[in-house]
Amino acid sequence: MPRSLALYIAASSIYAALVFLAVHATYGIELGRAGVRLPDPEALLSSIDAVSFAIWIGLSLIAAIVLYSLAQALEGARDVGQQRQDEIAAIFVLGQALSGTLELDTIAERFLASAQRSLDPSVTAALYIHDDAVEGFRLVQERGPHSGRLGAPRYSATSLPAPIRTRVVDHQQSLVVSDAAASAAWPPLATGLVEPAWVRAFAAIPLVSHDRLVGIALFASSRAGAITADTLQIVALGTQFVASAVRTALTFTEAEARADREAIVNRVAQRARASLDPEVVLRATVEELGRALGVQRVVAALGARPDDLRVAHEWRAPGVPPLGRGISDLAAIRQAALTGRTAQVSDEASHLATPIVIAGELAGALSLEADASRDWSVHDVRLVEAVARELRVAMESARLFQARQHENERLLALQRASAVVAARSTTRDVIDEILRTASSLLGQASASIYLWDAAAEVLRLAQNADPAGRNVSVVLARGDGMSGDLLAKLEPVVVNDYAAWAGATTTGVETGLRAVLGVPLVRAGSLLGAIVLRSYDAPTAFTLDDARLLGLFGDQAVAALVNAEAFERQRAAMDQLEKVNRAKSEFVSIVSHEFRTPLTGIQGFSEMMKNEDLSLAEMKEYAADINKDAHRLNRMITEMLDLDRMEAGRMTLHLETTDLNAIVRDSADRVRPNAPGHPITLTLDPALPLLSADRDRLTQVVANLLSNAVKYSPTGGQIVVTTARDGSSARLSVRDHGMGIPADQLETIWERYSRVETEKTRGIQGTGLGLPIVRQIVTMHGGTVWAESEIGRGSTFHVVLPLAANAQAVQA
Amino acid sequence: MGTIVFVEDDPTIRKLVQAALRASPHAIHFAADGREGLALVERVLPDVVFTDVSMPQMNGLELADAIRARPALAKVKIVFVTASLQREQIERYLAHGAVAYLGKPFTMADLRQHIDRLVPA
Repeated sequence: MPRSLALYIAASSIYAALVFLAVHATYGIELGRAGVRLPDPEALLSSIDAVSFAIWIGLSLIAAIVLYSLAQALEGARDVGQQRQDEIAAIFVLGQALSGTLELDTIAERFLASAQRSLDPSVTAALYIHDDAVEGFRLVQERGPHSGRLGAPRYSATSLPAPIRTRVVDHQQSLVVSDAAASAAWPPLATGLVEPAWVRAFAAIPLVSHDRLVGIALFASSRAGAITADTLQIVALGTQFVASAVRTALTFTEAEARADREAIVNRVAQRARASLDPEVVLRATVEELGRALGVQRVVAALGARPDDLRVAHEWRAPGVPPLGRGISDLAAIRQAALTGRTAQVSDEASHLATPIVIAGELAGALSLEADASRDWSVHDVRLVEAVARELRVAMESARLFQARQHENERLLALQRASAVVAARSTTRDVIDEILRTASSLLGQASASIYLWDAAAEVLRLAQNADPAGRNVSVVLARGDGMSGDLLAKLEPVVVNDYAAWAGATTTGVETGLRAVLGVPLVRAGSLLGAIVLRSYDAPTAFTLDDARLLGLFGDQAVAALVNAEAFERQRAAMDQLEKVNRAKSEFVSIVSHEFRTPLTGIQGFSEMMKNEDLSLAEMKEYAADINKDAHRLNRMITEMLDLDRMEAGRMTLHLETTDLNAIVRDSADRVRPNAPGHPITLTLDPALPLLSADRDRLTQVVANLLSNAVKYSPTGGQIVVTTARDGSSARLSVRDHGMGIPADQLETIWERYSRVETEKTRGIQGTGLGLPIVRQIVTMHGGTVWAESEIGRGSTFHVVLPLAANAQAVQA
Repeated sequence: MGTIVFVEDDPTIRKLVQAALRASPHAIHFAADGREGLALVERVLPDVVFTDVSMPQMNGLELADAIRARPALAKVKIVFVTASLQREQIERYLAHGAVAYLGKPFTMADLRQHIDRLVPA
């Protein structure tokens, strides 16, 4: 008998006895006070007592039994509650165990252990989590006697068994098959399992957190009935904690991955931005990526077309052989370049490639290579894409910087070039330097300078530099050849496909000209000339930028040209001044020297005539000598002044219709009496037209030549004067049979005071100005004069005069 | 009685000198340029040589150098007869061994004075 029942019975009995005694005593007192006398009060009392006692005992017993039953019932209820409480406590323990855990493995381990305890030791359990990267479910852990024989390591949304897909994944409800053999739901489930044969009971439950499916749990047992809807309920209750923990862990992992990614991207960005050299940027990128992702190889390829990518940089893990294959074999890169999207390709290795796109144009691609076993996670993909984006930014800024730097370098080169050109002082030097500098400025060896010929209205080649000596147009005229036209309009010419250009010249096409860049040289709005650069190499293309740069250089070149011209003018003026100065000194020297010789004669003879007793004959002779020297002096003065006036352009020709033959005849007649020993023969062309000339000056010419012929030929030497028409000119020749003139002096005889000095000319007096005057007069008439000679045989002086009056003569 | 050589390319001046010195006791020889003059000097060994400066073939300065270069002619005195009488030119003449110079145009009195001074009677 249970202790509680005896207790109840004892308690009830004591209670009943106490109540009886109390009642009994009360009745006895009350009866005694009333004086009721009973026949046998003792017996009566005894019988009443006995009955009452019995009744009370009975009542107590009944109460005890009732109480006992009640207590029994209560006890049973309390046991069930305790069990429930224990189960719930286990769930809470699980929840507690899971909270604060961010390791998926730990979460899985604790959950699966707990589930096993709740279900049955024969149960094998597996936890899958949903993985965005693979867009499916990934096994975290499997636990139980049949571990490894339940589910696949990975399920995609479609490879999951259909019932699980619809019920568990889509509707987020549990699925239980307590007895596989008896259930029609089993066979479709079994198809998706690794080894379904041993399974007798099966269940799948969703792990849902905040309405989001974060994973699924699978349970299976080789014992039918080991898993029931009932037992599963407890496990299902616990999944809430698991789901929440998984979700937290996933979120954390994701956040961590994102942080890692950002750290890598930041490092790449930092290194990339530390340099503005695209090469350095690429190198930094592939290195960072390679180290961060633990891959075997990272390749950065550059190129604007998928078929035209080249490896710019390659990073390799230690021990990895260099990339032996061409880019075209890297299927992932090619695919990425073609599609413009990140691509994954698996062959003997696992490849991940993403394109680098700048301003909508393909610029290259990044490619990762790892073991074939490597599955690229969404993090990898995101990282590579982020790096590619960062690379794009860095490369773009590097490119911009380099473009700017290139521009700066060019401007600097321009500045230097301008300085060099400006340092030249003669126009010729400036032109040479402009050519040299323009060529080097744009790296073209073939360059020309044209100068504007205002009279002909064409651009005329001034200088051409071409190492290969190709022909170029000598004249760029308006209307023929478009470049001349454009340049005349002060517009630059940029032609990159010369053969197809409308303005191409045959010269250009024949010499294989590919590209032309020409800029006009402009001063104060008018064309001075042009610089033209030519390229005969296939891929050269001149840009508008080049044209602008050459244009800027052209401005400097113009300034240098103008300066050089001014400088040359200045120098010419200086030279002129110096010449005048020299002429003055020369004049002084001549006056002091040349004039003093005849003066000596005049002075000496007149002194003798004055001081000595002379015969009349001597007097006459000396007077004649004085007279001769006085004439000579006078002639020298006259000729010198004439020559000066002629050379200074101050002498005016008095042009009139002149008969050259008549002049020759008159001159010969005047000379003959003074040269009796020299026969003078005239061979005159009777048909010689009349000239427009200064008769007196022309007479001077003929007289000087005749007098020379007489002076420089021995007595008896014949002198022949010939006139003839020579086309549109009249020719006069004076031939002597004298000593002749050495070849090296044929030119110097035309200079002032130069005399042919040979033994035979000794003693021949002259002013030293005869021939210079002849040449000056002939030149003023627009004619030419020269001498031919043979030593010992004589000389011929030729004068050619135009028949028509010429500009200089009219002006003079 | 002394010997004089006169080197001068201008025939009028030669004629003048000849006329002026007709009555001179000295022997006077003429030459028309330096080369001819040098040959003459070597032949006649004069007391004094009067020479023009600007002459064809061999000028007066070259003639003076040639005379000075010959020890046999060491006693021959040289006088330049010239129109160029700037200070530096005179210095040049003296540097070439001249003992005097005679500026053109010269008077006959000047000429005779030089002869009297330089040629022993």
